[in-house]
Amino acid sequence: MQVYKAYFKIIKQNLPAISIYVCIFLFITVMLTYFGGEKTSPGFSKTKINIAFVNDDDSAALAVGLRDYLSTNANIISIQNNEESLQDALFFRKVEYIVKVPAGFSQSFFSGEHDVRIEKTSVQKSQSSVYMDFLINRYLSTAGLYTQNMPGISGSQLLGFVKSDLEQQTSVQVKAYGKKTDSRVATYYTYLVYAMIVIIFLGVTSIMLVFNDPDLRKRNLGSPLKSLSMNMQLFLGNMSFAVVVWIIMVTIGFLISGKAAFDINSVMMYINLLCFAFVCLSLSFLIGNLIRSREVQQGIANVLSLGLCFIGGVFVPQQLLGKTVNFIASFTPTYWYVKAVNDIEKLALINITNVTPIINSMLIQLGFVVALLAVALVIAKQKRVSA
Amino acid sequence: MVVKVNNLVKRYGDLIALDHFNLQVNEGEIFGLLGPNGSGKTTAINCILALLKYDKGTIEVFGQAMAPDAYNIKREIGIIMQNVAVFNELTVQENINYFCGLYISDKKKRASLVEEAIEFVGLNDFRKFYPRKLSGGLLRRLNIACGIAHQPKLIIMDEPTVAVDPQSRNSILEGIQKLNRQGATVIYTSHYMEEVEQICTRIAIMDRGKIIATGTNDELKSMIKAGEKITAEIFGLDSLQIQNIKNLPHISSVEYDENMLVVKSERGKNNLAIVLDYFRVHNIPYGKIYCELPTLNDVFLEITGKQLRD
Amino acid sequence: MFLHIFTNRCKCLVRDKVLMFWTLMFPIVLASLFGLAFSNLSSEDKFSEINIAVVDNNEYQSNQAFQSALSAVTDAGQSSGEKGLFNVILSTHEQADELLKNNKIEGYILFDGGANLVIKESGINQTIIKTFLDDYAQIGSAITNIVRQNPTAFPSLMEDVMADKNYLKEVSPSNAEPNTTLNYYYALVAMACLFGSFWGVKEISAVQADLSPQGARVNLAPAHKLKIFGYSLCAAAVVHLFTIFILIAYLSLFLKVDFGRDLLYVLLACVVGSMMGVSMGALIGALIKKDEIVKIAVLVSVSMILSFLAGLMMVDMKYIVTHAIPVMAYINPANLITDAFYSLYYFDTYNRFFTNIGLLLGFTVVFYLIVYFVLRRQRYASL
Repeated sequence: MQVYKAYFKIIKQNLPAISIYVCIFLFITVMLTYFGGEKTSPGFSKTKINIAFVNDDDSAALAVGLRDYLSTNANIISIQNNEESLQDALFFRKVEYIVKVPAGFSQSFFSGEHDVRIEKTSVQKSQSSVYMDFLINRYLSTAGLYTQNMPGISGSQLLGFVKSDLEQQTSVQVKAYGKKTDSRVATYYTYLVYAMIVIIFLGVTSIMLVFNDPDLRKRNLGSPLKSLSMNMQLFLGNMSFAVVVWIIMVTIGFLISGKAAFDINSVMMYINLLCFAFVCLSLSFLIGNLIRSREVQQGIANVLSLGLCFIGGVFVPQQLLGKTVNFIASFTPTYWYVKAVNDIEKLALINITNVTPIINSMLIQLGFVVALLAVALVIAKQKRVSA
Repeated sequence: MVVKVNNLVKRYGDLIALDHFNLQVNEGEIFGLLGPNGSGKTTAINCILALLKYDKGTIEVFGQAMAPDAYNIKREIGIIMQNVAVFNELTVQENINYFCGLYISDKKKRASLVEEAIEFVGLNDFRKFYPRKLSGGLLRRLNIACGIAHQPKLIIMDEPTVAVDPQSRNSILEGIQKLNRQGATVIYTSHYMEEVEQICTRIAIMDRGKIIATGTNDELKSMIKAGEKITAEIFGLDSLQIQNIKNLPHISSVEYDENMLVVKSERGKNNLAIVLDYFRVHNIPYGKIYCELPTLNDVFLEITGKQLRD
Repeated sequence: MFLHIFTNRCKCLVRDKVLMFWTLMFPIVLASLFGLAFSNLSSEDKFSEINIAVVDNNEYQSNQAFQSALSAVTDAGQSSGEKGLFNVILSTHEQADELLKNNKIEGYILFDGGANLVIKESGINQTIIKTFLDDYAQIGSAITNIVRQNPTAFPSLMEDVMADKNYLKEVSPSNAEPNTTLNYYYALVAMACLFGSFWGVKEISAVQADLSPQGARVNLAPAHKLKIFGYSLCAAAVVHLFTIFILIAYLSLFLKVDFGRDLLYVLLACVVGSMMGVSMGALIGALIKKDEIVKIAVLVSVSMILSFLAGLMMVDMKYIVTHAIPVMAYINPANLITDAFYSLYYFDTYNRFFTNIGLLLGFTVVFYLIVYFVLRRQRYASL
């Protein structure tokens, strides 16, 4: 077990660098989890977006009614009514949406001409902004029904009717079938891909670089130790490293899951993550056999991690990636890891139909492990012959 | 006087790297600065070159005070550092041209100087090579070419032969002598006493930040008491005979072990003849016999009580 | 002298494969990945039909109005092969439950003294279902009110209900559409600008005697070190700017990233951003005395984190940071560069753009001043 022991001595020397990577990337992951985890879906008293409401209309009854209605569905932030402050507010995302009631709006509205429109500005075409559009149109079209079909209706009467109409709400029943995974937990395990690839890759290849130093290699090859035994010990060392990283990540996962840390969904997350850790390990083992310099190592670490994350649906959800990209991605292990995370998140009922796709995704990841390892060993052998 | 250093003191924290260091180098010399690793050779050089701050003392080069912005002095100095100082991204020729260009702005003149330098170090076949592709010895030669291409009057070489194969080393040493013949004054630091003995016209021996002796090779050796060491292979010498040899004149010590007799003598004439006479008179047959003159190491040993090389 | 140093340093920089990778290849590879990942984001077909179930009971069967409203938003109700909002399954209560359990539907509608929505989690799809039901109930309430007050209104009222009126118009501060995807690309350019710091570090090492033997040699040359450094820095700035221009060309020509209308200002932003990056490297190079590999690791990490905070991996991060620590918007160079590009794209006026450019120039000057004071020292305490 000499090689195995040496492995940990080398790890110890590289510990400061490795722990910097661990800290930085786990920090990024936790940041992403806590801030990126909330899906901006309005309704059901979920997140309300910040909007600005500007009224340039003198006869303000309708505008006031609209403002009241919107204030129940969004946070109205008061901002000075001038172009510059409004632009800045949008630019820094103090608000995501600006509603502006132009002068003469009420008059035009009550006259039935409807040619003066509400002006809106949004930072992006998002679901929240579409939802705000919808709310405003709903309020005004309901009001429009009254003004057109009840000629002479007074302003206050109109507001009263519209208000009571719009208070009509469908009752919603939320059924919990079994336990459901907190979406934040799923987010954490998704973003973890980035940290996992970088940490394991840099850790493993740093050690491999030491062992693959041409002179050291010759000395090792010259020793009576069988090359298989040496490679196995080396791999065992790498595996121990991967398992330690996995334990650290799962421990942070505990803190995020809280009470749910030991239910079956969480356990599946851990297993899935372990599969992925081995994928990263074998990938790093393969590349570690090919590279010679630390500069190249850094380059590959960044391209590989970001590449796999963007394609595999870590930073951009798989549903949004489109068929072609997902098809390409299905040839990468990240795709299957993320798919499993998504499936586990949705998993409410443990039965064969629901669990099979998850198990499949894990098995495919293990398939990647075997394939990558096989290639790595072939390359290691060839290099030995040519050395 | 090309270089004159007076009472130079340099401290690194509590460590005194140079302790009232004095040095004078005359024009046309190959001046050797010999000392063990860590004795302060490189520190002294760096101070002379105005790279390092120092605590006390004065330094003059070509009769003027040396300073970082004494460009007219710097223009006449060529440096060959201990570490190879070339750019990996530039070819052999480009490197020499680059560093030469810091001294010589005239393009035509520079081109011919670069050619001469390449010729001088024998890198003609390698001019388009990148430094990474050069072997250790060739790399050192490039390092030298970069330092001397502008044909300086004073060349300072700080251990230019560390980790160099014997062939390259010889060519480097010959090169130094050639530069000297062409009129350059050379300061040469090394911890290889053989090299220093071989090429230097004057030698200073350093230890712990001080010069402990200065002089020509012979002058240094004549400073010490030790004379030649005589070694002979003799079978069956008895203790009385050994005692008798010890009592011969000018003999300082006698050792006899495994049929090898080692006789150390004090400085004097005919020490070898006296020992040989004794053998003949007493019919002592000997096999091999040889006699070694004292080395700079003996000089160092006698002054400091320790070996030059550990 | 200038030309001699400038051309030779350019050679050194361009031939440094590692640095060329970081400043040129890496951003282009990353940009291509962005292109791949975002290719679908702006296209229209990202919303697919929502699967729902309706419990087929007596109350549902008797509610003709709801049936017609629902069919209007399914495939069948669409005119020319367009997709509907919902894909509806009629089922029993038990079946609907089972479907919901196994994630086959997003929710189901149960009539039990009025419409009820049964779901198991809240999300955008569920919100859409609920909005549809609310809308139905609210219009129903309005119709009831109006008919009660004015029974004659009925036929024209139904026409008004069906009329799809839009009371909104989009106004933006400029002609450009708001587009946060662009922010990813702009943050990428910012990252590439910050990678200019590699060049800065390299140039510092090449002139500092305590950092490299080459530096020692430069210090011994009969020329002022700051002069040599200045010339070398010009080479670094030019080479780096060249890589940034290639990146911009790649982004705009191949990935069709919109940089707004004003090419000259885009180039100005590149020049300033690139100078900022190089100066940051010079600063780090002058202050940290470690070997180059460690410095590159530090620089990659710092650049990536600053770019991350400017929204490189997730655009919302930029705004989260801005809200939590407002001053970050003004001191994170990556953020400043990103904003400079975005304001060029988005605004017709140049106030915000010049604020950012001014701040970047300010930092650059400060960084160089510090570097100047470090380099000005001509003798070293130790080598």
